[in-house]
Amino acid sequence: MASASPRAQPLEYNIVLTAVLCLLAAGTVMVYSASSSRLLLAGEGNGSTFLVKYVAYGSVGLVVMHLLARRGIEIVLRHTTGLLAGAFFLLVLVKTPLGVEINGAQRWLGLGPLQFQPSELMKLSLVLYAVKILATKPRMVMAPRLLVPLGLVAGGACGLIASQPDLGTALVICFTLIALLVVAGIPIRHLAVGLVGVGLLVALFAVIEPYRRARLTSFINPWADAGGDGFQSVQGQIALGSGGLFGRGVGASVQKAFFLPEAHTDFILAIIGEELGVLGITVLLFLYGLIAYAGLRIAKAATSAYAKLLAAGLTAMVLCQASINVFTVLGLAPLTGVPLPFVSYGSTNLIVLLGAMGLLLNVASGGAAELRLVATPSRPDALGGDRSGGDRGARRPGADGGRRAAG
Amino acid sequence: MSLVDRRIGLLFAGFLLLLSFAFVRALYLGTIKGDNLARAANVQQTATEIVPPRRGAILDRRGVELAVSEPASDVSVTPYLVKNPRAAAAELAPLLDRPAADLTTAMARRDTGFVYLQRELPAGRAEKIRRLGIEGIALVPSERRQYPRQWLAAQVLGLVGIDGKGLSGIELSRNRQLTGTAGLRRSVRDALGEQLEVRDVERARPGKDLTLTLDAQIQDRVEAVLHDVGAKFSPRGASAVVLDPRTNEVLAMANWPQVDANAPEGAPEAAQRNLATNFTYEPGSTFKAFTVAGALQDRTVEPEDQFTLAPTIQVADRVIGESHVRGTVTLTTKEILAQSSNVGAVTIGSKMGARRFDAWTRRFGFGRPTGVDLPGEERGLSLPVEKYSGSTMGNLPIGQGQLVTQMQMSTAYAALANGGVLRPASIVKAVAGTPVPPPKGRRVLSEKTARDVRGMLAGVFAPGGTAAEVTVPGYSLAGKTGTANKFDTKLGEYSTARYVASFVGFAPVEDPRLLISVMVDEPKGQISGAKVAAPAFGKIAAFALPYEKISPR
Repeated sequence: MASASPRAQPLEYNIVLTAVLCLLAAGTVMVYSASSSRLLLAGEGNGSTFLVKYVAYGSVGLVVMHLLARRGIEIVLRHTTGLLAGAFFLLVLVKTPLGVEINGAQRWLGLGPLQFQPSELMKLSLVLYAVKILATKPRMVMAPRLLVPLGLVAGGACGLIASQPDLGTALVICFTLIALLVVAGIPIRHLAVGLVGVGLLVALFAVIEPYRRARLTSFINPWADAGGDGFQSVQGQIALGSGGLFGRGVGASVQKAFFLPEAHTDFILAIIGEELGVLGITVLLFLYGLIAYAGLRIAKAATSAYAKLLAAGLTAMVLCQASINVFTVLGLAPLTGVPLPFVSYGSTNLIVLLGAMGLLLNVASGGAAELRLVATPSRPDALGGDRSGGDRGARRPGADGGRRAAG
Repeated sequence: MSLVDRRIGLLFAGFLLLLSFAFVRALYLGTIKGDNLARAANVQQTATEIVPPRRGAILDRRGVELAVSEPASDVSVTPYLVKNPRAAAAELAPLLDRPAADLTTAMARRDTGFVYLQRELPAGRAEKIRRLGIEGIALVPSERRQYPRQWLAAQVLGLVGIDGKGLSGIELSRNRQLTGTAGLRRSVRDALGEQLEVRDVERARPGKDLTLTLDAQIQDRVEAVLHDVGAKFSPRGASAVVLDPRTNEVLAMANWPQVDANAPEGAPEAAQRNLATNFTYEPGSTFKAFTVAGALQDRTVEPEDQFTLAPTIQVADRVIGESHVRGTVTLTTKEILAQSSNVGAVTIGSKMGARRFDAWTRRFGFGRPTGVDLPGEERGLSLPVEKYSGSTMGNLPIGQGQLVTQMQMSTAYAALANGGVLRPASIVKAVAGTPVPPPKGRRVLSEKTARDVRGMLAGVFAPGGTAAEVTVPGYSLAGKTGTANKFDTKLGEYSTARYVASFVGFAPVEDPRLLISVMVDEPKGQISGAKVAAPAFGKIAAFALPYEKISPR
């Protein structure tokens, strides 16, 4: 980190970038490994269909990440409300005949061969929105009443997503927002009350629908119905178990040959476990840990409240998604259907997450530094004296304003 | 440190906890629970199957395939796995040759989890069924025994059961060598049952090929001749044996009626029997050769001894006459055999005495199986000498009152033909290319006696002999006709309507290379060995002698 170079970035910046690129590399190999044999056995093409798509979406995502890493905060700050509105509009659009149904879930908008998943956009938009209003009105976390508007927006979004149904993404959003509230300083007492309420709601939600109830019970003992509801869970655990400590070797998974559904998407971790063993999973967990470490260090180091919350929110989003996926595959959580961040095959999710990482990198390189300039004089409040200005017009974003030399 | 920073620390701690928990869980699944899970993986991913060994082929002495095995599959169904029995049946019916309704019924059964739809389905059609991919249908590799020559030597070759075990004939007697040992194959399969990887844990060792002494060409001709006999005389059955008396290798062993070895279920049980070894009859006049041979060897009589023979002879309470009424004649030993004189044979027999006669009977191998390599060989019946009654010596010398098999007659005649050595006939020439050592022989007659008897038997074909009408131009023949009344167990006496007509002969007389025996059970129209069996002998000899490249005189 030579201070001589104007482009030199802080350590956290490099850690996040390295971890993300490592995960992408792992994803490239594993998506190919998990999808190719299945395609070949089914006689569909030369087996590289998903690899090519993954690399294509990943490339798009890297370009987005690169752009956002330069001036992402400037862009999203200006368009937060627009993004949210757009995400809502698209989510409603999914409900119309324009939506595409796959496997009984209507989650996608089809544009010819391209498919777009608005819930992923909503995930990011909602985080950005929450970060913005929490940064603008830091006192709202202290009074539950003031959180109602945010709750309504988030609840509406989650309701729309959960009804697709896409419980997984809705859960990721919920957990991310809770993490955000925690960082923003919500009194633990309030949080506990809220969590119990939400927990009861979720329990009710899960119990009224028989298929969700079945999922819940099959989570508790998947082997009781290994051929039915517990099938995917059981097959995932079989894959992990047969991999042992060091795995069968890359490409040697048998479970991917039609035994394990969603082998290259939601359950790619099981294939990683089968081919690379506990060792492979450990390395993967370590990479997510690095992102958590560096992302939250970035948050700590950020000088503006907005930047702090943004960094923490984005990091939490990736970690929440990763945790849900890992816990599901390991049999520690019920099946929800969330892709493993950066590794699973996925189109919108991959691009959105890489965009989020772009924003995180932007924070790391001081992209929000000038926000302090427009912030009102600091007070000894919950946000540690930082408070971003509510008046967006007062800000003068500049192309070079987002960078500072690491020291 | 501000609250936000503390909370960020808390969040990191939370995530660290989650990730650590995940790590511990992964470690648990991968190690402690790993064995169980790996076993579960094994159960669903690998299949172990027994690979049936290829059954050895059966070839004739020149390598013509008589019995071969081709890959096949047993098609079975687990009924409750079949989602739509009617649709599945419609797809399977044309490939299984079973009516669709039949198959629907089988697949709709709920009382069992396993039903065979067809066993030993040829591999080609089994593959087509596999491609249909109907759930619940299973294909287990098996084999299908095929007999390319269909009818040829069916009773000798025998049959193989549905489980691949020999049931009769050579298939039974040599089952161990033909079977080989099964292999064990482990395959990794995907969830759809397709094999991803196949490994032979234990390689199947194929059974050994058998080379028989049979010659398909001669066999074919013998069967054609028997077929004519069958058509002409409609007997209950007929059989013929051709062997080389120098080695006793069986060149042909044929039965009539014929059986299609590929569809044996269509033939009556009796037709499946190999009459040459598994049927006993009273030999009649053909046995006189041994009466004479024994007497000659004992020097009880000489070839040129003259006997004055009355029209009949009385032994105890029995009066024995000739087949054709004649006056008193004087015949030499040789003429007695050539003209098949009953009175003469009984006279010679009584000169030998019961004890010597019995000794000679056993010496020629009667009363016990010859030891030929075929299952279920009959031993025949020769009364022990202590049980002879007063009239017994009026029956036995002319071939009545004892039961023999055609195989016993053939090997005993072969001893006359080859210069006096009795040895079991052999039918398996080589196993997997390794020659089977020829059975050991035992001298029963001197060369001279054998030569004398051969000369006498040649007289059968001379003018005045019983087979004078049979000739094979260029070759000298020797042999003996036999016409025996069958004993009617209901009446308790010899039937005058049912006979066994037989002929045993060899050629050329000076150096016999072929021995041919024909036995016809209950011919209709004609009954005598001379009219029924001797012509068949002639036809077989007329083909086989030149075929075996035996030069004419």
